[in-house]
Parts: sequence; C-alpha cells; structure tokens
Amino acid sequence: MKKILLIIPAYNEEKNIVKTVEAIKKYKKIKLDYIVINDGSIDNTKKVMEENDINFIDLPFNLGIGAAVQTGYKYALYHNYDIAIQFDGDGQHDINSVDKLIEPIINDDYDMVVGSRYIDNTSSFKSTFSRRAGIKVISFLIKMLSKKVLKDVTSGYRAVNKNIIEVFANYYPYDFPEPITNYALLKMGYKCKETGVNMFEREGGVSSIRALKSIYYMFNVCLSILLFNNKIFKGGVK
Amino acid sequence: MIPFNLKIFLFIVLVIYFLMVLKAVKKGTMPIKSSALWLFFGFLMLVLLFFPKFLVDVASLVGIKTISNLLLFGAVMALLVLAFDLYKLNNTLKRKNITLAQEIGIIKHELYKKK
Repeated sequence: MKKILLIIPAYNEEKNIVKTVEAIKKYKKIKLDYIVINDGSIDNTKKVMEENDINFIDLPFNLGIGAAVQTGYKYALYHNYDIAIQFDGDGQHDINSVDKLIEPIINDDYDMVVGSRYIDNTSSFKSTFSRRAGIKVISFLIKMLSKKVLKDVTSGYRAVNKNIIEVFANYYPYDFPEPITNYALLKMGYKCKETGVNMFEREGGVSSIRALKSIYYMFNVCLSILLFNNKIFKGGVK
Repeated sequence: MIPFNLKIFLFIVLVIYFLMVLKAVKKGTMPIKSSALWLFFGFLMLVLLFFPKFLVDVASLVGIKTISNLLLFGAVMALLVLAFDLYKLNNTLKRKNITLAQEIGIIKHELYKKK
C-alpha cells in the first residue's frame, strides 16, 4: 500500500479551504493523507482551519507559492511518503481526477504525472486566452529543447514519486516553479507524462498569474528554461 | 597637482575611513575576510593621493582624456561590482531564511500534533 500525500498550498483561502478539504475527506476511492500549507495568510484561513480540525502547517510569514509547495515536499520526505500530489487550495482541482493522476506512477513506474486541461478533453475549464497563449509558447520551447511534449506546462495539479519528492525537497524554484521543474525533470531524464484531469474555474482568491502579467511571466519562464542548470537540482544552492 | 591643504583634508578623511573599517572589524560587525577589500580601497586611495601622476598615466593608457572621468568610471564600476555582490548575498540569505521558515513550520506542526 503506497503512502500518498496531497500538498495543498493556501494563501488567503478562508472562503475555499474548508470546501476543498471536505471534498478530499469525502473521497474514498484511494486512501489519501493531506497537508495544507498556510503561507502566512492575512485573512482568517488559519482560524477557519483550526475550527474545522484541518491538518495544516503554519508558515511564520508569507514565503510565496514555490516555497510553500516545497514545504509540503519536505514534509512528504520527512514522513516517508511514496507519492506526493500538488493540489490547489482554491477549489480549482477536481479530487475525482486523482486516481487517474497517480495510476501511471503506481502501474508504469512514471516519476511524475502532470494533470492537463488540454488533453483527453476531460476539463471544461481551459484558462484565459492570454494565459493559454503563454502556455503554448513555453510548451513549444520545452518541446524544442527536450524533444518531449508537455501541453499544460503551468498545471499545478501533478503527482510525483519518492525520487522526485527528494529532488524537490532539496531544491525547488521559488518563481514560476511548475514550468521550470517540469522542464528540469524532463532534461534530467526522469519519466514524465501528462494525463487529462478535470479543473474548475477559480471560486475565489486571485490567480497568481494575472492577465496583464502573462507576457512578463512567459518571458521570465523562457529565460529560466534557457538558462537552466540541472546541477542546482542535484546539489541545491550553496 | 593637488593643493597641499586639500591633500591634508583628504588624508584626514582617509584616516577616518580606515578607523571606521578597523572599528567595524573590532566590534565584529565586519568579518576580517571582507575587511581586506575595504582596506584595499582605502590603501588605493592613499596611494593615489600621494602619487596622482599614476592616474594621468592610466587615463592616457586606456584613452580617457580627463582624470575626473577616469575616477568617475572607476567609482561607478567599483559600486556596480559591490551592488552585484550584495545582490547575490541578499538572494542567498533569502533562500536560507525561507529554509528556516519552512523547517520552523514543520517543527511547529509536529509539536502541535504531540500535544
């Protein structure tokens, strides 16, 4: 029996977090543990979680999405989890897709599975036009450099095995973590695949990638990919 | 040629500079390792104060017409290197700070669970 952990970063999610965790608790198909990372929220997220007996790590101040997710990977490493799944605290990810996400790791020995909105037509929500255009450019660049196709490069719904938990606990980029780590793992020769998952439109909070920032985001991600150095993932920052 | 009174004034400024660096090392606010750089800058300024002709030679060697331009260029470059170094240090400290905050969060969680 594999030990599976859902890592749920949450920043100012007082309106969504209980609903998100309730959905996870109701899901009985697979035995799942979860940990919410409260990333220094300035609303009542912490209070709401205490009142509802939610399992959470309370970071002393806001570290940003990348560092919050990495906290979850460290927790997974320290507690010897076999699989870790990133899961948004804002109700965007559908828990019913989780079995599809971990299946390739359990059955086919994949290291990482990215939940995609753009394949199998599983998801009705496909994101905004500007963001979709940005994702296409980044995806194209990754294809050029790694010869591997990954359509939903910015998806925050993904599952990794024990090897990757260790890699991410050791080093995780704090800015634009998903596309950079996806590319890094492909480049380092890990077995990665994409699978169709369902995602909903955001129910609350503010997306960390706003429409106007899409171009800036895309430029930064492309630059990070072009300047990628895999030694940093193996040895961390000295 | 630097006028004598200006020379004396600049010398006093340099002495204060050296005292500031040495005091910082003594108080432990500046590690001895990095004090070498600051002392080197002071020493360089001292040499230039007493042998300003050296600047004229360097300016003509690199093709800069006036010494003041050479000095300005040198100062800007030195500050740029310093700013770059501090930027790198700032990022290293930020990463270490984040690591500490993550570990504190995890330890707090474990303690809370045990209660």
